[in-house]
Amino acid sequence: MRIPEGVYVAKLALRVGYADTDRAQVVHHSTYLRYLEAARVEYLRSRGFDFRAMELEQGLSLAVVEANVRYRAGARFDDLLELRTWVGEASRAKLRFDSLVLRGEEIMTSAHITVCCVKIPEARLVSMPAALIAYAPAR
Amino acid sequence: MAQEELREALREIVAEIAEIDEVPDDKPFKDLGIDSMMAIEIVAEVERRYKLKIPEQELEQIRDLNSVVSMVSSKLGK
Repeated sequence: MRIPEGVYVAKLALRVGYADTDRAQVVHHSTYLRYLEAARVEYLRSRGFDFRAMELEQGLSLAVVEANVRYRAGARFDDLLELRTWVGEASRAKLRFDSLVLRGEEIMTSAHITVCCVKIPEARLVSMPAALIAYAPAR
Repeated sequence: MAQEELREALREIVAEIAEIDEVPDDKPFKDLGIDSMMAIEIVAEVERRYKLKIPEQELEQIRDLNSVVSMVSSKLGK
């Protein structure tokens, strides 16, 4: 997976914690889902979108409906990772975040995470806010 | 566009998004495996194709192909 030309890319640096690893001393596969969640929130923050306010004030949240993660190499305790995240697809129905997890220039993991928008009180799926659809990559 | 032509075009949109072969007129979408996210995808495609605006509060009216045809027809003034 490559970062498409011209897309906005958010970067997040993370240091692998001891509790992030497993008995094989590499980052556990489930840990990447937490890393990727942090990367999505950072993406929104870096674009000036207040995710917390969306939840608290509008009662809307983003629910993961599909996670496609490809594990390429094992990161280890104390490694410094950089997550690069961009929006690969955005529509009224869903938003797909694409991410690369790098150690230096080495790609450790690549992922596509698709989210939909949910009205929290009723747990009902609703249309994606226009402000988020606007992050769709130019065609 | 004639009503039947519209119906067939909408049937095709639903079939493509839901990845199913048959879309009966009155079979509930949920019985066809069409979940709420697919329903919004259908609405988005209908909006794009026919240059319509379907408000959020009308999404719940979409239950089967007949309801989609009826909604789009009324918005197109048919």
